[in-house]
Amino acid sequence: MSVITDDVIVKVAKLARLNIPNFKVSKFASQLEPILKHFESLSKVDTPKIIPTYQTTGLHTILREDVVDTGRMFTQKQALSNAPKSKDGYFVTSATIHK
Amino acid sequence: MLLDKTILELATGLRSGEFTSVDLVNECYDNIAKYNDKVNAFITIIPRETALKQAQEIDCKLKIACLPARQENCKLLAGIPFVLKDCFCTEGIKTTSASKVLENFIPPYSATIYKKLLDAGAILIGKMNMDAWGHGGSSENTDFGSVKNPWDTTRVAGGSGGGPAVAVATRMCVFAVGEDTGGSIRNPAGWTNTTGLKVTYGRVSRYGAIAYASSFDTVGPVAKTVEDCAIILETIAGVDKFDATSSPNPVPQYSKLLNKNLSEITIGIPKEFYGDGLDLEIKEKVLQVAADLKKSGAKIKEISMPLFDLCLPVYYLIAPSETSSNLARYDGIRYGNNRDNFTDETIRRILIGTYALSAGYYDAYYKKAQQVRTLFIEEYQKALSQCDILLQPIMPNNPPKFGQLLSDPLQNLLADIYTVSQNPVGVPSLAIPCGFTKSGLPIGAQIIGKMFSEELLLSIGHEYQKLTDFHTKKPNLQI
Repeated sequence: MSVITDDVIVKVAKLARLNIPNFKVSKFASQLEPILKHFESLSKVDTPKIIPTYQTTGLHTILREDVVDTGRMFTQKQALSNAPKSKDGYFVTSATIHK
Repeated sequence: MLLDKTILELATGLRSGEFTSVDLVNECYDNIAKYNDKVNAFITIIPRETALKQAQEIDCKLKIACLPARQENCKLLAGIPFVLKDCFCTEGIKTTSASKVLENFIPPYSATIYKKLLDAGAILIGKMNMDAWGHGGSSENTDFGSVKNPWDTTRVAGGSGGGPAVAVATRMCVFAVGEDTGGSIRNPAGWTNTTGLKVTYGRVSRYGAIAYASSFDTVGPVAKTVEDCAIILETIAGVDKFDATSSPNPVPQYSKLLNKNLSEITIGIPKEFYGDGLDLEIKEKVLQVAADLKKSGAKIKEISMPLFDLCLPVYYLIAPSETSSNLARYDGIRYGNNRDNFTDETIRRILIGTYALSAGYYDAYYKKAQQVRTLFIEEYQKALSQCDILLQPIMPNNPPKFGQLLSDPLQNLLADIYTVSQNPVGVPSLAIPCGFTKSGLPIGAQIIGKMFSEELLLSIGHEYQKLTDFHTKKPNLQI
């Protein structure tokens, strides 16, 4: 299986929206390499026809009536109550489209 | 000390007027003042006046109600002080998951289990320190200072639920509710001489619990005794319309079903769990649990669980994958601080999970782990068809000194070997004190049963605690 290089860490960090400072990239690469190598033991198990398990409840498609339940809705004030920046009832974020 | 008493003893004393809830709350805060600086179990301590006011109200209600303790099962918790691992949303009360990301987060809603405990009249004393996001087995991966083991304050308390377990052990509360994804209730229970229950997946609602790995996370009690855990479980368990993974199975009155004829029980000893790497003192004490139960008529059967070694890759691929998805919401825009505030351990887990889910690696890592998870489910079913419960150690070693686990990420991972197979499968496990090392450190054992076998586990654990007194011992912090 693959080797965990610095490039791999940079690429995966971008996917995960993590800003990893350059000086830490090699450290993470060297820490993840033996861990992922340890996981190679899974490849020795024969599983061609085994169905993956994603959850163990045995439940399927739990539904509820399509009606508004005001008892569990936030007011706008509650929804904004922990926002670092808000304005006129909106969350404020950095610009994503630059002119 | 009043807080040495069990929940049933306290409920009886409150109703007879022997003492009041105000007395219990005062004793909690006196102990917090004496011991919390030494163990750092709390992130948020509820103001004493707030807790005392609630206690006064409960004392008035109990005077009027005056019912024998047994008749109002769910209200056995009325007036009883408790703490919550700081992963449960409590409306209006800071909830951090021990991370700088949420250091100032005040939830606008409450976890279902918190509402249930308040409805039962229990009194919240604090929000407890833990490994951030549940990521850890030592309560060192916290942005609020490590939790210290009260049995030896140079050693870790276990994790991720170190704070709740330490609070129970040092009598800063009567009980706690924690969360177990790969051992986070059981590991600290074993290392602090407390009793903790990892429930069947879906037995208790996860609504309002800050998610680590959504298909592994369980919510459960931590207390001094198995009987206490039974009383707490019957209060918090049950289907919840806000948690689509919560089970519609009816909730038995666990505290009324604790008597068990042990001669009807067969205890399975899976040999792979007792091999190399397990400290010999721990092995001896854990196997002694079976020997003690055998004296009361239980049968013992050695069995094999050959997939054992693969539980770590199964857990450590699926859990980080699920956590990488769950922690994607922390963008610092709608609430909390930004993603630069994650610790290195959390970053490692997000990186592993993101890698395992990424194009080109998904089949070999994530899907493969979920396939081997299916094999583990079959392995536990086969094991539990040969016996009623399995007896396993909780940790391979005694609690290490600070820094030992965090400095070696691979060793940190390997230390979880006995507690990570139960969560992917969903089966329940009860952690009980079973002795001490020669140097005085607690040792715990876990008993595992089929899905929804909490009634059986609690009854066997209760019988064991009638035969032994390890669970009554307290750490020597001059408590």
